[in-house]
Amino acid sequence: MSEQRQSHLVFACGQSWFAIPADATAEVVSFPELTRVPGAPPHLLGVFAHRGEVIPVVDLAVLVGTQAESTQRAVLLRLARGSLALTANKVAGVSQVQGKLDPLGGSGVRMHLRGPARTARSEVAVIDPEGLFEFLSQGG
Amino acid sequence: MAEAQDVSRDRPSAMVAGLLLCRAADGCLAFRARDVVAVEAWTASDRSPHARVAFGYSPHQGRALVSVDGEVVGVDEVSVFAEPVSVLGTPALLERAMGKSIAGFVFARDRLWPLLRLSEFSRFLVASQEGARF
Repeated sequence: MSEQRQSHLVFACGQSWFAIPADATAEVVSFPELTRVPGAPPHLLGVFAHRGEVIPVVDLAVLVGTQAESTQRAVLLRLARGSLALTANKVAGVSQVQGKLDPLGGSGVRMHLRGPARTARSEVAVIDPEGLFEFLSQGG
Repeated sequence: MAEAQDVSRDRPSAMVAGLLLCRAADGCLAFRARDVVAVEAWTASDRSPHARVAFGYSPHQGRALVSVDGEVVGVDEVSVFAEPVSVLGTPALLERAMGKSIAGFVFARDRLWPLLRLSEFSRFLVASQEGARF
């Protein structure tokens, strides 16, 4: 429950703005036609190959239950446990994020989104990347 | 024209030769040919699982792949792909959900295909339809 100032990559997915610690982000990529994964939940749009690695693509808007927008850009995360791409229809760049970073919910994906927080231009939900990865890998 | 996928070999990978490339609705699946002892007709009356369900569609008359231990998976179309290809590893994010049913991914005919283990994938489909999870 502490107020923090850290550098985050800020991006929009659907109508919502998100921020993720800059040190977890590898690059912003454009992805081609995705390969669907059999049995995957709706927020897992598919996978694509990037530099010899298969990257799963997740739509955060679908995951949090807001309106999704079609895009072929994603923020590529490289974490200790693996890689993951989050779709982004807008990327605002790296900003300082201010706010009390408490979980925005007590269950589900919102446990791994923190706030209320804001950049100089907008309110954002700050992603806990490792927590989100664990949640998704368990079938969430 | 779709953007080409980047499959540069930055990481070592296993090779596989002899695949059955299959379609199920708008999904695609690959199986090792050596894991398939027969390709038969699939009809709804068979009650064997169909891969279309894993992509959110209803089963449809098509082909049935039969494994060495009698497990069956229905698909819409089957074609043979003989060229050796590299197997790309399964992302960590998918390992728990897919369990042993997925062996990785292969790049063939200008696209990426999930490489599935036929028997395990049949059981995965049955479990999914019953609401269970690996």
